[in-house]
Amino acid sequence: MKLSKTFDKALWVFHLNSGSCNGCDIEIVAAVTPRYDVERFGIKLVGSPRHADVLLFTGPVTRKMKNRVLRVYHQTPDPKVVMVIGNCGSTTGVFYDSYAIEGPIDTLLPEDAHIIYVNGCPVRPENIINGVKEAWLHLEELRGDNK
Amino acid sequence: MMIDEEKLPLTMNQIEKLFQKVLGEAVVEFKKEKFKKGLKGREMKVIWMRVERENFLDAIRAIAYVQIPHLSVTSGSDMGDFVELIYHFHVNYGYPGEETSINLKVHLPKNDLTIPTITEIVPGAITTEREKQEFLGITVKNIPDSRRLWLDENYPKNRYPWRWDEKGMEGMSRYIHDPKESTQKPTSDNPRGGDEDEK
Amino acid sequence: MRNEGKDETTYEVPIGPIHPALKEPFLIKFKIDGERIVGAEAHPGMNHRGIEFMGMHRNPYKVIPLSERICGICSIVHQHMFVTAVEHAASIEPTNRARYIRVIMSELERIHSHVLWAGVAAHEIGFDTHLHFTWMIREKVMDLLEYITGNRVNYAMWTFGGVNRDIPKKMYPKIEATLKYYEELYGKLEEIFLGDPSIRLRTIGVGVLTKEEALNLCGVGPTVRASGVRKDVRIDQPYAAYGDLDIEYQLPSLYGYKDTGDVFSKTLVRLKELVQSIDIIRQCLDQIPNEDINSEPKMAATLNKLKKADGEGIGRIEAPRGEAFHYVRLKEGKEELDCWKVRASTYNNLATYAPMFMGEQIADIPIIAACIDPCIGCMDRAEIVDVNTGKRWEYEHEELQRLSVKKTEKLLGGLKR
Repeated sequence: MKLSKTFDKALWVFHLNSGSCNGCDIEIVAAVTPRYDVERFGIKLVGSPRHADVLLFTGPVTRKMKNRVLRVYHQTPDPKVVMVIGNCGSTTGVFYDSYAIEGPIDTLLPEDAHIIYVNGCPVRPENIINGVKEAWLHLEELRGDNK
Repeated sequence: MMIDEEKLPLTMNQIEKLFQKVLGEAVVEFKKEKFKKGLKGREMKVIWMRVERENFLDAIRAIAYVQIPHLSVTSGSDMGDFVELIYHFHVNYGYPGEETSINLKVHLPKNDLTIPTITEIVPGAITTEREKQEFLGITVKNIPDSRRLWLDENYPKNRYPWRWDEKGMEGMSRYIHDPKESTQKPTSDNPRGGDEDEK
Repeated sequence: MRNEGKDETTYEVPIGPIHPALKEPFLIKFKIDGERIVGAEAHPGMNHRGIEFMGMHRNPYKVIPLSERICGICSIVHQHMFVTAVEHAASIEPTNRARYIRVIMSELERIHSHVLWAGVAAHEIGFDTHLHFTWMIREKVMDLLEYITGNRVNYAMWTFGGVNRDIPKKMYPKIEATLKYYEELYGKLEEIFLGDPSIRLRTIGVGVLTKEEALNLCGVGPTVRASGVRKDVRIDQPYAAYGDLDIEYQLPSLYGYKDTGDVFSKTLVRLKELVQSIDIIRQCLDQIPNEDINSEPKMAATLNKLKKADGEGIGRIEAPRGEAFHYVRLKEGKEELDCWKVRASTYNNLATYAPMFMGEQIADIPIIAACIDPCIGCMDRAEIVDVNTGKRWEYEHEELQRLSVKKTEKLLGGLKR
């Protein structure tokens, strides 16, 4: 599949909270609103995974959310990049010894998933913008592979 | 039935007398605490009391006699031979500086973990009663809705997070930082398992 | 759920648990009769992380950062309650300066939380311009919080016996400047949320919670104050330094409105609390005593004391969303907490959903769900199952919001005519 050049100029992201504390989720919204305004780069928060190029996962994946996380992942069309936002998403963070945690997310996703880790507890909006840039570069690389 | 609003707020001594009148000998423990807070030394009033399970509903009715009871939450813990439930009520709300916490304790022996529901007197108690059923393994008699609230439906039915005995959650957590974990094989009990190659 | 023998049919509509825009996973199942809601049932637990279980396996100092991460919006709230409960259990007295700093931080958080809520409410009605406006002005208080504590969220400010960082005199001008900024903007906020005819049409008479229901269901915070219930922990049972300050119950009747308990009253109460918070911070800066910020600066000494302590304590504060509660028991010789119970405000307000949704329309679901300020709550995907045919289709959050926006437009059209 060949991706058009315009594809990575306008990344659409879908945000999924899998049991995080809302800290990162609020910072994601802060990144969209006027102070940080990622929409000027063509990055848009969308309401459906089927419209998304990038998935923003937050949280350590609770038991009840596990299947829903996987469902959302498979609903997103390829090529896609997963951004794991926050420490608890990448390592389960302070929630490491709970009985209700299934994560971290990268242990649940298929092995060929393209994952970008954005660290911080919570992540700062600047770091999220940086992470989206990384995702962008990654998608450009994928396009190169598919030529 | 409720007392006249003019008689409110009740002092801690009046509350103590009320319980003595209604419950008599059934009050096993009664402790009053007062703290001074801030520069002006405004007082914070806290009552700890314990009643026998037979008189539990009478105690709730006594609180409801003062004001429509504000139930903050029910906390509970495993104390070895018995499970202790604490109903955290608050009365005298609406009167600046006068609100009093009434922490009502009940002990349930491990061989008979049942308690009557209080939803007829305090309709808002339903959330916390359902929570206690799934976290402590107690049975709330006549509860209008006994489904699980927080835990997953396919979770083991006889494991309860707040218990310290064999029905507790020991061994249910996944310590991803523990190197032993990754050598475990996925089984039906432990579907997360670990990596076979690392053995 | 079909009504046998009748022509009308009731559908079940689950909403949630995955939502794209803002909130945490949460599911509400609605019973719909045509456009009317005839039943609502909340199904929480998607976000259940077993916080209390983890707390019961760690020592009190390790639980402070964990308690902050119960919620990223009200991280101050849970720190504050946990620390107060442990101080109560181990009879540790914080210094008075620390009490004042705790109040200042709590009120700054209330400002950021209420402004955030106003944006969410505007978004749910369909005014994204207002969402962006409120979130823009929210950044100002976030800057101040970062200036004081060093982080935008999760401030690590509380410790047993006091606070970790002081608010020195040189910080006062910046705090005052921020308060002034909000004071000047308040008129505009009021104009938008209380004066705008289309917002009034969408909020007045919608999602009504009567005073009796509010009392019986043990509701808390602005949700029940809008119904005229006089419940505010800051006044009823003063904690920290609130006993020294001059505060009043913020009820709609105080400002010449009726205590109807609809979404409009809830908005009003939250906006007025914004002004109140500004006033409280000013009072604190005037009265704050010069003292140490911590009664026992050595962590090891406190930890030792906590290990020997044997007792139980409660922490109870008025969070931006209403009363919240922690119970802690320490056992002698045990380093970990023996028992810990966390109760957030939304826990009690969950039960108030049922009467508020009753009889309302599908298009009103977003704003009513948002009006208790669920921490942070709920919605993004609705699924409608037709019980008769077994046909199912899904409402994405966007579509639900589109319905909501459409209703606003319809009402506006009627207004112009």
